[in-house]
Amino acid sequence: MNLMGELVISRSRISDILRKYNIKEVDESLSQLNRITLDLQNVVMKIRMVPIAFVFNRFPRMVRDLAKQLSKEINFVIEGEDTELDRTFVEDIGEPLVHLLRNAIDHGIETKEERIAKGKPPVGTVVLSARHEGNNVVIEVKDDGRGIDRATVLKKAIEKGLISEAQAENLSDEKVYEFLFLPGFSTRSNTTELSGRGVGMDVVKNVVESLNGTVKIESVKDRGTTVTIRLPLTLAIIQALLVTVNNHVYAIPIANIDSTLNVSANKIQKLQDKLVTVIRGEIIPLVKLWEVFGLNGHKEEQYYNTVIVRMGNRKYGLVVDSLIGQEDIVIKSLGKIFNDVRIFSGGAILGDGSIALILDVSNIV
Amino acid sequence: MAELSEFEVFVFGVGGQEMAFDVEHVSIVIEKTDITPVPRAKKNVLGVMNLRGRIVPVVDLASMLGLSRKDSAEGKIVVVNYEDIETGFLVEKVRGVMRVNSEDVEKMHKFDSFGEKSKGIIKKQEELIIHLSVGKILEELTMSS
Repeated sequence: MNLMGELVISRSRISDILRKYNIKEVDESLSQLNRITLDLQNVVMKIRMVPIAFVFNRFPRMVRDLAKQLSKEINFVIEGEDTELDRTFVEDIGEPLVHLLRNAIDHGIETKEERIAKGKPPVGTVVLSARHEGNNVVIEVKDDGRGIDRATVLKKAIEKGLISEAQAENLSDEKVYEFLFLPGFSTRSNTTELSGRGVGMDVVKNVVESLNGTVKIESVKDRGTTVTIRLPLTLAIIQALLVTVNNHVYAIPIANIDSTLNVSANKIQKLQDKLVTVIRGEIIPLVKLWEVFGLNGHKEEQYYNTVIVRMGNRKYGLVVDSLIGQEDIVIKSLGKIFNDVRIFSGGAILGDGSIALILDVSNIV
Repeated sequence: MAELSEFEVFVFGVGGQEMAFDVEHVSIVIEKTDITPVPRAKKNVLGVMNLRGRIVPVVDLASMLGLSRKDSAEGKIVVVNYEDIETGFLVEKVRGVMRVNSEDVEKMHKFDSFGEKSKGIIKKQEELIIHLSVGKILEELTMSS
């Protein structure tokens, strides 16, 4: 896979150099080389993709055994088992999923009596699903159990001296659940035989992040918990649009992009201190990337180059300085030091040896 | 005992002072190259550079140690490899490898402002060299703020 990446990088380097000298004769052979590498890349990718059923297959039995052991009744649903993902992920993602399923069954789903008392169906439901979303594979473990108790998590966090009581009150749910990912953070005082083996949520997070993915917890009390794992579709090569902001080159994954536009300044309106523009009757929020990057002193323009991106079924406009063009780029991790920089998913080395940071669109809009 | 504890350090200049890393963590030294800034990164992190096709973060060692960097054009980047993670440190000049006897190292006193980032002071003839801990420095950089 690294070889494929290197091939792509050196191809872009060659075409960069040749473009400078503008030799007619090589143009044709160069475009042929481009086509061949693209085909080769597609073949390599296809070979590497396997359905996630390979991972999911062993779970029904595990869930059944577990439910029996804990004398709980569980309806286990698997969705999207045909979803394909990179072969290297298959080996690594199993263990975290085992942990999440155990959590859901052991901690999440209540006993039959409790459920009846709460007016819920006596049989608990656990859904394990996978789907493609843009350049990502999304895996969800969802239960309709008791949910995560915000107060318990906060109490524990205060006990451990992670936050003060005053801070705790204003914390968003998302931030509260993030505590669960810290090593040694368990809200259970008594660990059960099943899910107290020292494999905490921090391990889940570590594995997923080592695969360049993210984990998110959502929970509603007595309605259940959803853990969402988002993995890149494939490790390495994506198509991206290169843009510049304050003279630096950044890459936006093509998979996120809807279209590009030139928005004139007088078409931009302020709506609840957010910039928006209307395109074909659709209200589109605009984000000036230099503001996201915290760069000041950007001058006002008459026209703004805007890249329209899609997130779910919403559209957003990312305002950039200029558009360079489309290129195949090889994603590389920026490293641990940049773990708290959520707006970039990685970096790529361009044909001229410079580095383009890759925008993580979901964390920008 | 004294003979066993002879070791080698890699000496360089930062903020007008002499500092040293344990030599086994230093993989290469390069001339200062193009550094791509990473918006929203921690303040002591200058950005990333292209090191033979790998993306490696570059850290402003002077500012991390609370010193001011002499902004000379010919800075050097010391690349360390610690637990398989490469990190570049921008320094002003490099002196090279030096052999040190553990007798020449003095554990620092409490007033040291570098905290755990330094392991002690190496006294070599008339010079004083601050012996830095690569591990502690990287730990501080990867800590979530």
